[in-house]
Amino acid sequence: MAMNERLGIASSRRVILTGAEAMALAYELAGVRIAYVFPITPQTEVLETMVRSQRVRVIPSDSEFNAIASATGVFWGGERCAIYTSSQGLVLMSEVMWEVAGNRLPMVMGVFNRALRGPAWTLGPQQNDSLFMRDTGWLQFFCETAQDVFDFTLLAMRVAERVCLPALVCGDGFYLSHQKEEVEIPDEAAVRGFVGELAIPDLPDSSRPATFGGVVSSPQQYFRLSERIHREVVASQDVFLEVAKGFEVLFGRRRTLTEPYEMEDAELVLMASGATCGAVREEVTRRRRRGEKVGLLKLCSIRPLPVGELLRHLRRGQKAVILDRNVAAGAGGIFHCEISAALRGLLDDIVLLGCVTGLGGVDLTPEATGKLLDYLAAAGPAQQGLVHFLDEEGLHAVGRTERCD
Amino acid sequence: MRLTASELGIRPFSNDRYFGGHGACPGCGAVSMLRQVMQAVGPKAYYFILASCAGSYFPGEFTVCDSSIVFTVYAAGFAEAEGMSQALELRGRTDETVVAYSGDGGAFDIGLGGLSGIAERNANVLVVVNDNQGYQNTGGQQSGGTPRGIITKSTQPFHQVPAAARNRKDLLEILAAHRVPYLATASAAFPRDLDAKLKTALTCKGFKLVHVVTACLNWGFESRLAVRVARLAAETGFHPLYEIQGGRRYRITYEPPFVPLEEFTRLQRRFQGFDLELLKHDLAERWEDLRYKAARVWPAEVI
Ligand SMILES: Cc1ncc(C[n+]2csc(CCOP(=O)(O)OP(=O)(O)O)c2C)c(N)n1
Ligand code: SF4
Repeated sequence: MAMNERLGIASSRRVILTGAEAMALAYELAGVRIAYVFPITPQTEVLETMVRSQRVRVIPSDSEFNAIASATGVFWGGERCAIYTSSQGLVLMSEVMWEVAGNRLPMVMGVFNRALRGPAWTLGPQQNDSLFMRDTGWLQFFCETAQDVFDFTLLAMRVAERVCLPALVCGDGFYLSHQKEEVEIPDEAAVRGFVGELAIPDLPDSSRPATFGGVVSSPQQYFRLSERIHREVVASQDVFLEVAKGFEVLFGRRRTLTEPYEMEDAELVLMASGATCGAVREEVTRRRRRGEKVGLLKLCSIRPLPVGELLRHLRRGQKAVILDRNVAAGAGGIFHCEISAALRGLLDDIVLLGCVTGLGGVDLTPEATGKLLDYLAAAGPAQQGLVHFLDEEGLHAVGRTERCD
Repeated sequence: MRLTASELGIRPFSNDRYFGGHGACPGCGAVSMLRQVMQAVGPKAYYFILASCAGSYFPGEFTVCDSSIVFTVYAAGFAEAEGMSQALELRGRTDETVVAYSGDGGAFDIGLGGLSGIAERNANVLVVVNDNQGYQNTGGQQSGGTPRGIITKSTQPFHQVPAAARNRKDLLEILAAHRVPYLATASAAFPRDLDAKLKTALTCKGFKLVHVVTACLNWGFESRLAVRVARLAAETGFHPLYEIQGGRRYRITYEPPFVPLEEFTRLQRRFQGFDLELLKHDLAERWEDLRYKAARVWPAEVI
């Protein structure tokens, strides 16, 4: 492995890449030898990048359903397999995704989030595709930058293999998949060393015949297996931090499940994931220049739900709002629903609002974020009972018992 | 959680690769077929099992055969088997066989896209289709493999389409159009024919499929008649036994005596009230087509 003697870490080079290219490169440098693919915008960029690789055998499948089925077979055969999708493709895979998690296969799948064919077709980003699968046992990471995509793809492989669960590495379609950014790409041998060989404890082996995934003999068995998956997802918070420690030693970058920005003395906190963080960070920077005590807490995962880190960064007396580029119809933003439920009893003296933004790719500007901050400054516990929507026309709120007019 | 037969102290009572302990209906034709398949394929094999009655042929908690069994969600089994074969190839484990096992519902209907996909990609997989002519695990509903006119649990008596208006899919013709290396029909009641076809299939690298019609208790016959029903299916010409090489070269492997169709149908409740003339017409047409194709002489340069 080539070293950077001055910094004491693996040597690296700086390259200009799209998020899609960063994802393809992460798989390739990790030594993945096979990919099952099916085109869908905006993920197709990853596919087209990987096709140019001489080292990865890229197999065009006949649907996303069968692409992930084949990828599952590759893992049953003891090999890693690259796979990535968006939107409709991901929900088409959903039946197999339950099976992959239940079988404890550490598949890592890339997702460039795109809104689903609900009210209409759109190519715009929205996280409801991957979030639809949050109950399965798949870990789910969210990226803001192409560097995040590269790093989290590698981290996800190690974490997934440690806890024997699959993982999604997600980023907003177009914003991340198609924009070029500078990315630090480490020496290949170092990447190989970091991810290591795939080792799955319990795989089919013709010299030791066994049956995998048959009918359980009692409901109790099913219950315990399900509870175990839950425990493992919770525990993956700590596993992530351990893996990230090794990552930092090798590559010199510190990776965590939440990233604080100007959080030390913040009184008003914005929490967001993915590309939404861009506009928020811009507004936070402006306000800090005016001396206002505002901060951003970037959320890098929903599975595991980074409760440990949230408790470290949030304080009693703060007011916070969670921006969600997704909506669970009838409940509100999904990060907001989950985090406010998780914090209850652990951190109560805090005002925590939820705000749905950016659906279908609606642009979130720093100015709009500023309006939300002003609203937050004036808000109290009463506003916690509302679901807020911030779109091109402004901010509006919907009560929990309201009738449609 | 997963115990192997040897861990449980179970020993095969014969040289069979598939031994006692399964939970299928007594007389299930698929079980005797499977025993023969496992015998021919040998122990170095992985079976990807699509959701079907085979859930009861292989209990979840212990293993009743000397091969590895992987259950899959309904439509995913074909593509999973393909992925496994790719991984084995990459790892240089080319002495192992990957089998995908499906019911007719899995192959003719819900998994047809995946089956077509792995055929197109010529995946190195042996596909065994257990055609019991309906969704039997869920109690016997109509599938794309149910012959026309048969009353199933999902056939409405009042809004039934005229028998002439629908026909079962012809799976082998669909796959022959993919021009895959090897296709065959077979019957568990004709073990030598089945064995020879499995052995030929296993000599082909790439996609091969054996389509076996097996007798199912849901057809409405007594368990003790299972083998007789299966034999009659072939002897009446209801289930022709043949093979197709390269999607083009047909060979009829068994010339039936054409026992009257009634001898087959009267043993089963599912044909009750059905006008056999239509079925006889179908069979005549099918045999005409088969004989025409089997008689075709291919010029040497395209062989
Ligand atoms: C997506 C999905 N739909 C429905 C089912 C329920 N199901 C399980 S087995 C089965 C029928 C299987 O029929 P077939 O493939 O013909 O096999 P057989 O049981 O007849 O051997 C059905 C409908 C399922 N498991 N998955
Ligand atoms: S329902 Fe039919 S196919 Fe299923 S186990 Fe019984 S006899 Fe066999």
